[in-house]
Amino acid sequence: MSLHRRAATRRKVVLMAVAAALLLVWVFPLIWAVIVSFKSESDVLAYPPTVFFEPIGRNYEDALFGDFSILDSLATSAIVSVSTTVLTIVLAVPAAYAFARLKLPAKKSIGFYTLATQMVPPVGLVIPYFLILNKVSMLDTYTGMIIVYLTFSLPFAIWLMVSYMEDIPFEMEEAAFLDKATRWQTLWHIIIPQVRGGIAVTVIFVFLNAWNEFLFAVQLGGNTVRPVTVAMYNFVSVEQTLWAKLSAAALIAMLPVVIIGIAAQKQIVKGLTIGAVKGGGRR
Amino acid sequence: MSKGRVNLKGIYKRFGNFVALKHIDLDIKPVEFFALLGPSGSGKTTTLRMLAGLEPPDEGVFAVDGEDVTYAPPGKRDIAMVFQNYALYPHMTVRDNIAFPLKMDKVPAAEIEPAVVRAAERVHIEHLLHRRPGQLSGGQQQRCALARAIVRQPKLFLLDEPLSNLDAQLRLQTRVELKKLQRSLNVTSIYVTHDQEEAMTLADRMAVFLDGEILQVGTPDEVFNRPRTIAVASFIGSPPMNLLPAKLDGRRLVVDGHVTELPFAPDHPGGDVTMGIRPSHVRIDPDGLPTRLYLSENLGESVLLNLYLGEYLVKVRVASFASAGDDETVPISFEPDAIHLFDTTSGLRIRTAQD
Amino acid sequence: MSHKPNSSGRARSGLVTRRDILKTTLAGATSLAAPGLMIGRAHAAGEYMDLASFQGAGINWRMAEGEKITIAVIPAGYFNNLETVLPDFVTLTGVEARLEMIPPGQIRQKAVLDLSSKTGTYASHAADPMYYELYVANGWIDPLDDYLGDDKLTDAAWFDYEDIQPGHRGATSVDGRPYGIPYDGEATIQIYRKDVYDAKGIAPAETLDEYRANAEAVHDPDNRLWGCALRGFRGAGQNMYIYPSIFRSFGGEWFDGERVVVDSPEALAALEYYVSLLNAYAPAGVENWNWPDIADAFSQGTLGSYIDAHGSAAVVANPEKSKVVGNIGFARWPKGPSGKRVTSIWNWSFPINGALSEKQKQATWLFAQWAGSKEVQVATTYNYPGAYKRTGANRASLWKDAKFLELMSGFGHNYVEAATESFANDTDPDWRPRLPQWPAVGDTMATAIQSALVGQATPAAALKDAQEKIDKILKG
Ligand SMILES: Nc1ncnc2c1ncn2[C@@H]1O[C@H](COP(=O)(O)OP(=O)(O)OP(=O)(O)O)[C@@H](O)[C@H]1O
Ligand SMILES: [Mg+2]
Repeated sequence: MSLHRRAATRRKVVLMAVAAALLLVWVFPLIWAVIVSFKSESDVLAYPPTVFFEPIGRNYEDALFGDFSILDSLATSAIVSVSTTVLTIVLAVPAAYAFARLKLPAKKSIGFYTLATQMVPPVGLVIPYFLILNKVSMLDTYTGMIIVYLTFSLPFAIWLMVSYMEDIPFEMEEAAFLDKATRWQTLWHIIIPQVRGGIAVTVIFVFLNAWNEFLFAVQLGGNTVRPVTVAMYNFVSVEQTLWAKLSAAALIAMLPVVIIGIAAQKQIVKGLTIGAVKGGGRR
Repeated sequence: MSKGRVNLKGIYKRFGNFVALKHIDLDIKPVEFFALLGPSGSGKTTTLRMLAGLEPPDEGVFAVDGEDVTYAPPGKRDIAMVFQNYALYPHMTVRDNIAFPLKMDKVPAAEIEPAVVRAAERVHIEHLLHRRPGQLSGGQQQRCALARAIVRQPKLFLLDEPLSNLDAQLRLQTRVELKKLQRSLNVTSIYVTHDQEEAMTLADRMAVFLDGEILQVGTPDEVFNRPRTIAVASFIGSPPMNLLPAKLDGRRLVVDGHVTELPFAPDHPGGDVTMGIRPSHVRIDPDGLPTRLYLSENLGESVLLNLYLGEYLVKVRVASFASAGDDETVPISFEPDAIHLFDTTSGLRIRTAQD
Repeated sequence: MSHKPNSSGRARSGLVTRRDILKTTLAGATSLAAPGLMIGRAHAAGEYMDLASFQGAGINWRMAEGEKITIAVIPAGYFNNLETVLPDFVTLTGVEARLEMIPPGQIRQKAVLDLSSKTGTYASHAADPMYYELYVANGWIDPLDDYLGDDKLTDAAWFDYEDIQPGHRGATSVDGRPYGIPYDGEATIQIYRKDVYDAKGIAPAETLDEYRANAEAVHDPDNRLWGCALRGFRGAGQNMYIYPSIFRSFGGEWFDGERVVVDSPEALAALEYYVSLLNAYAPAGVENWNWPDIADAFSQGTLGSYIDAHGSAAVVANPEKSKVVGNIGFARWPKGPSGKRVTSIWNWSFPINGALSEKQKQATWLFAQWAGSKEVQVATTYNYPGAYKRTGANRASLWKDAKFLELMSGFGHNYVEAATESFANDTDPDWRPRLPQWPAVGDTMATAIQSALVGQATPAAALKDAQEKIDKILKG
C-alpha cells in the first residue's frame, strides 16, 4: 500500500469523524427532545439526568388531546402551508416559464429586484402588512395569511424555478411546437416533467417556510388562524415551561415536515438523474 | 395536387444590426430533396427555422402550395423537423417521443401505437421503444428523432445537419438509408448541411449559401460542373478548384506566360480573367509551367500535390507520384476542356463549352 | 362565528388536567366537585359563580348584549383560569367575549400595533403597567374615571374599586387617573430553603448585606448548592425587573427634574452589588436565566435562595415538579442601604381600547369590571375547580379572606405574611421610571445590566453608556 493511499485513507477517516461529530451536534437537540418527550415533567429537570426511566406516552396524549391540544392548530398550519404551497407552484411555474423564455431586456434587473424583496428583513414588513390586511378586513383570516405568505414564496419560487427552466434547451419546446403542441401543452408535457426536481425543491422550501413561520402568524393571525408554531407557546406559560409536553408537541409538529422531506427527496433524486444522463437532447 | 411546393421571396432576417439572411429567393418543387449547403454561419439554420415558423423573417414572403404562411405559428404549418441535436424529450420513452406529435394532433389512441411501430420499423429502432433517450447511442437517438418526424405525414420535412453528430462510417451508412427513406416518403424535404459530399449525394437540387446569400441554385451536377461565381467555385469540391489569374485574348488563355489554346470561344471581350481548374484536371507535362513542389499528400487512391506557381498554391491530383525530393520542379499544364473562366471584377462565370 | 372557545385557548382548566382535578378533589383541598357536575345546581344559571351576586349590582349587565369582543392575554395559568370561568360572563351579559392567547414575547408589540393603527381588534388586552404612559400619551386608551363614576356603568359600592391593592391601582393610573382595571398582580419576595438555613443557623436576610452573607454561608457548589440567583436574562421584564428594586433600595432616584438618570452613584453601587453577588454565588449561566429557570433550579434543590415574584411559589411548591416541598421559607425584600425595601409592582390589567364603538366600550368595561370583581377573583383563586389556584389576587379584602389565606399558607413558611406585608408596605410607585419611552429605555438598561454581569463592561462603563443612549432616546 502506497504512502499516498494511506494518506488518503487517513483523510477519509478524519472526514468521517468530522461529519459524524457535526451530525451529532445537529441531531443532539432532536435526540434530547425525543427523550424528554417521554419523560414526566419532574424527570425532565432531574440532576443527574435520569438515564433509565419508564417512557410515558402521556405527553403525546396531552399534546394531541389534552387541555392545550395542538390538533386544531395543526389543521390550521396544514391548511395555510398546503394552500400556500399549491398556489405558489400553480402560479410560479407558468410565471417562471414566461420569465425563462421571455426576451426582455429588463429580465436581469427584474431578477435582481425579485431577490431584493427576499432580503428585506421580515420584521420591517409586519407593520405594513398589518395595516394593509386591516384595511381590507383580512386580519386573522386564512385568505389574508395565505396572501401574505404568497408575497414571500412567489418571488422566491419564480426565481428558483427560472433557473431550472433555463436549463431546458429551446429546441425542446420548439420541437413540441412543431409537433402541434400548444404553449400550455408544452409546459405541461415537456417543461414540467423536466423540472420536477426543481418543483420538489420549491415545494419543500415553500412548505417548510410556511409551516415554520411564526412572526407573521402571531402578528397577523389570531384565534381563527393560529398555526402550531404559535399554539405551541401555550406550553411555555409565564409560570413555567412544560418541557416534556412542549417537546412532544414540537416533535408532532415536525412530523409532516419530515414526511414531506422524505417524499420529495425521491422526486429530487429523480429530477437529478434525468438531468445527469448523457445526451437526451440536453446541451 | 402538387403537395409541398415551397416559395421564398425576398426574405430578409436581421439580428440587431447583423443581417443573417439577405434577399433569399427559392422555389422548391413538390417531393424534391433539397439541400441547403454552405459554410458555418452562412444562414442555413436560420432559413430552416424560418420555414418552421420558429424565427419570423423581417421581410419577404414564404408560401407553401401557394398559401402564405410567413407568419403562421409552427403548429399550424404541418411541418416536421429533425433538429441538429435531435431535441428528444428526455423524460419520455422512445415510444412516447414518437407518439407525441400524434397525441398533440388528436389522433385516436387506437391508431397511435401501430403508427409508432411503423415509424420505428422504418428506421430500425422498433426494439428500443421502451428506452429513454438517455439510454440510446447517438445513432439511435438520431433515428428516434427521424421516427418522430416521419410518424405523421407532414407537408414539409426539415432536417438540420442530422448526420453531423455521427461517426464517419455511420454517417455514410445512414446517408444511404436517408435517401431511400425520403424517396419512399414522398414528402418535400429540405436538408441543411455544410458537408458538400452529403449534399451532392442526397439532394435532387441544392442552394449554396454564403454570408446570408444564395450564390447558386441547381442540381449537384450543375453546381459542381458549372459554378456560377468564383465564390461557389472556391467552395465546391474537395479540395475545391484552383483559381489563378489569367489573361484572355480570343481563344488564347495566358497563365504566367504559359498559353493554353481554348477549344471554345468564351463570351468575353478579353483581358484579365480568373481561370478555374479542378486538381484532377491538371497534368504533369514536361512542356508545361514550372512549379515548385511544396508537399505531396498520399490519399491512398491518389496523390495530392501542393505546388507553388510563383506565389499561388496549385493543388494537383495524380494517380501516383514518385518524388525526387523537396523543392523539386514539377512542370504542369491544364486540360483545356476542363477550364472554367470567371470575370475577375464581377466574379461571374464566363460561359464556356460545357455551358 | 360562535364564541366557541378557540383552539389555543380553550385551555379549559388551564394547566390543569382531569387527573389533577381528581387529585385535588380527593385531597380535599377544596370541597368543589368537578366542573361538569355542578352546572345549574348549587349556583343559579352560572357554571362557576352565582350570577345573582352580579345581578345584585345596580347596573344593567345586558347593556351591550350581542357585542363581540376579543381580549388578548398571554399563556399563563391565571388567564387560563379566567378563560375557564368566562362562559359565566357570556351568560351574564350576552356579550360574546373570547380570550386570545398571544406568546409573551409578542403581546406588547401586537397590542401597540393594534392600538396605534386603531384597528380595534382587541377590545382589551393584558397590559404591561409600564406601557400605560405610552398608551396615554398617544390617547390610545380611555380614562376609566368616566366609567367608574357613571352609575349607569358602575355600581361603585358593589365593585369597590378602592378595595383593589393600592400599588396596583397606582401602577395602572397615569397622573392620578385610572386607565386599567387590575386583574392579577405580584409582589417580589425572598424565597429560601428553610431546611438549609435552619441547619446553618441563619435567618432570612433583613438587609442586602445579610442576603449576601447568607448566600455565602450556604454556597457549596461542589455539592450542587449555589448561594442564590436573581434574574439575569436581558429584558425590560427580566433583569430590569429585579435591578430597579435594588437601585431604589440603594436610594437611587430615576428622575432629576425631567432628566432620567441611570448612572448616579447609587446606581453604580446597586449594579456593583448585583454583579458581584451573582458572579460569586449564582450558578454559571445565570445571565441567561429568567425566572422560570430560577424556579426550576430551586425546585431541584440547587439554590439556597432567590428573590422573585410571590407567584413562583406555586411552582416551587408543586409536588409534581419540586423536590423541596415542605422546606421552603418566605420573607420580604431585604432592606437596602437606604433602609427601604422595594418590591416591584407587577400586574396585569385590562384597559379599554379607545378605537372601539360606544357599545363595544361598554361591553369591554363590563368585562374589565367583571374580571376585577371580588366574585371572579374568588372563582379564579381558592374557588377554582382545578389544581392551579391563582395567587395574584388583586384585592386587599381577599388577602384577608380566611379561605384565600389558608390556600396561600400551604406554600410554605411565612408565605402569607411576607406577601401581605410586601403588598402593604414595600410597594414603590416609582419603582421604575414611568415614561412613554419606557420600552426603549427599559431595553437599553437591560442590555447595560447584562453586559456588566457577563463582564463585557464594568458597571460604571455600562451605566455611562446606557445614560448616553437614554439621553438620546429622550431627546429624539
Ligand atoms: N438568435 C440569433 N441572434 C443573433 N445572431 C444569430 C442568431 N441566430 C443566428 N445568428 C447569426 O446568424 C448567422 C447565421 O446563423 P445560422 O445558424 O443560420 O448558421 P448556419 O449556416 O446554420 O451555421 P452552422 O453550419 O454553423 O450551423 C450566424 O452568423 C449567427 O451568428
Ligand atoms: Mg446550423
